[in-house]
Amino acid sequence: MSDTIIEVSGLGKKFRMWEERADNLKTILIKFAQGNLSLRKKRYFQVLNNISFNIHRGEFVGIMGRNGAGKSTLLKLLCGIYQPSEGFIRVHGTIAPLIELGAGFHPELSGYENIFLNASVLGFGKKDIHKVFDAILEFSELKEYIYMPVKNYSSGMVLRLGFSVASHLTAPILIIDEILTVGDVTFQKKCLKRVHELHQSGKTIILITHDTAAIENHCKRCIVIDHQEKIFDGDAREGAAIYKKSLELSSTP
Amino acid sequence: MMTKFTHFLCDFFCLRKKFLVYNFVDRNLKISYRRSFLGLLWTLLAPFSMGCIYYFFFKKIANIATPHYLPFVLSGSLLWNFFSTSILMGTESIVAHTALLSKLPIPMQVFPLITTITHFVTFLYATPVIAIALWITQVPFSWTMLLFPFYILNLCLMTYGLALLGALGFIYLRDLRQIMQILVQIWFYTTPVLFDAKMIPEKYQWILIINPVGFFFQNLHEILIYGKNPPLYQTVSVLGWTAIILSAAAFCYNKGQKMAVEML
Repeated sequence: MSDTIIEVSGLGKKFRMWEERADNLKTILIKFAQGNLSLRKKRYFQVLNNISFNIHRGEFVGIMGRNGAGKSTLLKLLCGIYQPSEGFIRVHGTIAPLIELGAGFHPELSGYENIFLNASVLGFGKKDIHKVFDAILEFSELKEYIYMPVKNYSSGMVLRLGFSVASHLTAPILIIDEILTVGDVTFQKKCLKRVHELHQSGKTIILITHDTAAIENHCKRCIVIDHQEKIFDGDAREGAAIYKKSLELSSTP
Repeated sequence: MMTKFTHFLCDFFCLRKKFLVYNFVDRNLKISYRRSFLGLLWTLLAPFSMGCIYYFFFKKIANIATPHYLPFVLSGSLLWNFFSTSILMGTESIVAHTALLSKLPIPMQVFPLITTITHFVTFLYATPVIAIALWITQVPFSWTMLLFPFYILNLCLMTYGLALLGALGFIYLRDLRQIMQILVQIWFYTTPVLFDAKMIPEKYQWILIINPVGFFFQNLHEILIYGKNPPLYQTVSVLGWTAIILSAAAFCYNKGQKMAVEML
């Protein structure tokens, strides 16, 4: 629990209001004729507000929050897809996002070709793939089918291939978003086992989910986000309880 | 300062994403002909039939005076084809990959670049057709033909710049697809692709100057068909336009690229 690998300080994120956006010529012309084509007066809404936390090397942290609490935005900020509006994020090392399995897969191409496609989308190079290629094949249990087009795979096979690629081409930090809730129970178990192996081998893992049981079982620490802000940071069991409470509060009229 | 600039250039041309670019180009080429009977042969047949139609129509019916018209029209229309499809498809390329861009940290400029390179490779597959046409119509060999690779490299840079500009613009203005289609059509008829630039009357010669690829096609025909080195001002004009377009693209990319993901 020594060195900090991710440092988030005073992080805030605002988005433009969507209904005001004029992205076609007709709307722009109408707005212009009405005289309210406001280029300067932009309205924003806050998605995340003043979030600060540190994550240390080798931690297994869960992030929870209700729908719309800002989990996905936080994740995209961590991955560098969005830029923060306020505050900063410092990441010491590279992040591998396990956000979508099989990103970039093309149905007409074979599993073999798709492994390379998927890996390159995830930001890896030829050498990285060759190092783990056999392990990917083994884990996916698709050796006989690897030269078959992916469109002839069952959805379970596609998931297996996607997860095998994503979980073998890894960076020191892994961000996992909901993907462990797809597939059947056996597949989920296998995935979780693999995630644990990765954690054991010294990776830092951030798990983003609605599933309180998964957090309680796997994480030591958890962060709960609600109403754009961090409401809890600490023991996973306590956090899960707080998250459940926030759900109940919102569901009662 | 210098390192910052080279850093920017690396990003702009996706030099750190070579493997991604390579894989996507490879994918695009594979899937475009995977299920067709003749496969890659189409890349030769399609332009060749197009060239024959142009040849028949302009040479035999409209009786155009240009000598060696078959290689003339083939080289022009093949390059125009590369140029226009890259720009049109490139314009849609970033928005078309919204799903990937909003989930993974991929620099968005790779998609216009991939589109450009894909169509460029398709053009390369078809270059033997030009060579054959030059041979059939017995165009004498000239050392100026060796300039051809530099010309197409220049066109590639310009195409990438325009595709990137279009793609960035398309994020904000969804009418751009239709606008581009009309513009490209007008552009085609104001560019000496099918006809010789000298056929343009004196009072309309300015069109060649304000047309970024106007002199490009004239120069192309001069080095390939006439075996002449084009006058300096024509070359300078083409290089100037390339520089303007690339700087504009670099400027817009630099300004908009960080916020643009949210606008998708």
